[in-house]
Amino acid sequence: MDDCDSVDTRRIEAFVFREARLADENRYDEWLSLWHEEDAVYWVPANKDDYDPRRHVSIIYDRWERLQARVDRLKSGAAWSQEPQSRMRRIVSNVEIDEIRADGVIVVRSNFVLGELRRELQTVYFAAQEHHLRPAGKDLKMSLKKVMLINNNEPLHNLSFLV
Amino acid sequence: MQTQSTVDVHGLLRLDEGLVHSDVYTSPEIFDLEIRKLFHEGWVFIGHETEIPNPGDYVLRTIGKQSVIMNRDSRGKLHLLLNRCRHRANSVCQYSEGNAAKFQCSYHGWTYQNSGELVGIPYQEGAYPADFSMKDYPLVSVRMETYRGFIWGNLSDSDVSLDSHLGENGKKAVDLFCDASPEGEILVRQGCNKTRIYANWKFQGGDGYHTPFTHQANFAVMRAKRAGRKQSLVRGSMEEGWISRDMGNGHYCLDSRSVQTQGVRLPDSPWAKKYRDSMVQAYGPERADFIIRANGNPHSILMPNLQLLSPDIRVIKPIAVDVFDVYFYCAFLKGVPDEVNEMRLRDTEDRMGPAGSINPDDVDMFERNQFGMQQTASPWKYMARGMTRQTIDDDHRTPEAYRMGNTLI
Repeated sequence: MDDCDSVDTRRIEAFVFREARLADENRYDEWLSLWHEEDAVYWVPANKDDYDPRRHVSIIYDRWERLQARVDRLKSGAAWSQEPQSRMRRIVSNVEIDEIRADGVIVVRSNFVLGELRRELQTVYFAAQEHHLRPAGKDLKMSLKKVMLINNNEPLHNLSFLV
Repeated sequence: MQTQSTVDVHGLLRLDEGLVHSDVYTSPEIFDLEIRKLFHEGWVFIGHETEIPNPGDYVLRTIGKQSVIMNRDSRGKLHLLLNRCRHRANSVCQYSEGNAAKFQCSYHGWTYQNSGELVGIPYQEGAYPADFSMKDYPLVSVRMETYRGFIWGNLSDSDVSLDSHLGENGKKAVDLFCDASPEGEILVRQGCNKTRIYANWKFQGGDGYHTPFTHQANFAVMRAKRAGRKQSLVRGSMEEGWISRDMGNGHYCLDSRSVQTQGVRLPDSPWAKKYRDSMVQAYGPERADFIIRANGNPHSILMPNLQLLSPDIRVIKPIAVDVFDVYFYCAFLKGVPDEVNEMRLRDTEDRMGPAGSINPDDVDMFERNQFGMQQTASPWKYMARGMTRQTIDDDHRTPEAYRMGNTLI
C-alpha cells in the first residue's frame, strides 16, 4: 500500500467536486464519462450503510449497463419524475484519502449536504460518500461511487436525479 | 363498536354517470373514516414470519395509526403487541427491528417480557390499591392470523375471519407469489426500500391503461436498445390483454395471464435450468412454466395495505389524507440457486423504490393527481372507463383459475 500522503490531494478533490457539479447540473453524459465502464458500481445502500449487495436490497445498485439505461431514461424527455428537472447544489466536504490499494485504486471518503428543489418542494439530504478512483490515461475515473444517506432507513421521496 | 359517520360517502359517487367527487381523495374526514373502518376495524397486513426467525426477534410495524411490535417471545411464539406502556402510553420499543428479551419503558421503568407480560414496576410497595395485580396490565395483545407465513392483525373484535377477508382469490394471489419457490416458501429478510408519496393513499395503480404513457421513458430506452440490436419495436398498447379484475372484498388485480406467453424468459444458463427443473419437479411442467413466465407475480392489491408485485411484498402506509408511504420488501425464494434471488434484488432496484425506472414516475403521476384533486372548482372526475365492457366471467378453464368475479376493464 502506498503512503496516502504521496497522492496529490488537490487532484483528488478536484475530481470529487467536479463529479458533484456535473450531477448537480444534470449533465448526464459528462457525468457518465467519469466512470470506468468495466467495473462501474453506483451504489446507494438501503436501510444501513454496508452489507453484501447480493443478499440485501439497495436504493441503487447500478453496473455499467444499468447506469447507461438510467441516463438514457433521464435524457428521453419522458422521465416524468424529472420533468421538470430538479435543481440541485451540494456542498462536498471532509474529503479524506482513506487508502491507496496495491492495484492503484484510491479510496476517497467525503461528506455532502445536498439541497434539491423540484416544483415548490426543497429537500435536504445529508450523506457520506466513498469514491474509488484510478487513472484512465491522463485523467482519473471512478469505479465506485457509494452514497450513504443518513436517512436511508426512512421513507424517501423520489431520488430520480443523480444523488 | 358502531361509529356514526358524519360523512355522506354515497353523495360523493355518481356511479351511473361514472363520476367520483375529488373529496374522496382530499377530505380529512374521509381519510379518518378510512383509517377507522379499513385499518382499525379490519384485517391489516403486518409482515412475514421469516422476518423474525429467532426467539426475541422483533420488527416495529403500524396498523393505521397504531404502532405495533411483531415479535417472537423467548419460546419462539409469535406475538403482536401494541407498542405502548400501560402506564402513560410511552413507547416501549424504539427501533425498527432487533432482538429483545424484555421491553422496558424508559420513563418510569415498567418492564414487560417479550410475551407482553408485565413483570416489573419500580417502587411498587404501597403505591397501588390492594387488589392491584401486574397480571392485569400486560402490553395489549392484537388478534393475529396467518396464511402461508404472511401475518395479518386485527384491532377489532369483529367476527370476520382472515380466511373470509382474503377469500379464495386473495389466497390464490399469495399462493402464486410463494409458489415461485419450488419449496413454496419465501424469505423476507433482505431489507426494504421505503418511499414517501405526497398524495392520497388510494392512488395505488393497478391499471394497464397508464403503462405506455406514464412509463414512456422506459419504452424509449427499450426501443433504443432493440433498435441497436435490429429487433422490432415494442408492441402496441400494454393495455391489450391486461385486465383489471375485482377479486372481491375490495381486492383487485391486474390480470396479465393472456400476455404471459411473452413474459419472463430465464437466461440460458446452468442455474436457470436448475431452477426450472426444480419447479417442474415440484409443480409439473405446465404450472411450473406458467409461474416462471409470470415471475410468480399476482400483481394483486389486497386491501387495505398489501400489494403482491413480484419480487416485492409492498406495504401501504397512509400518513395523512395527502401523504402515504410504500415499503417494498424484496422476497427471496427458498430452495433456488443464489442467482435467482440476486436477479430479484436487481429487478426491484432497477424498477422500484425511490430511484428505480418505474416507481418514481408513478409517484409523480400520483402527486400531480393530488395537486389537481385539491383544486375544488369542477370537482367531479370522469372514471367511467370500461363500464360498458365490464363482464362477469367464468374462468374455470385455465389451470391457474383465479376464479375472479367482475372484470372491470
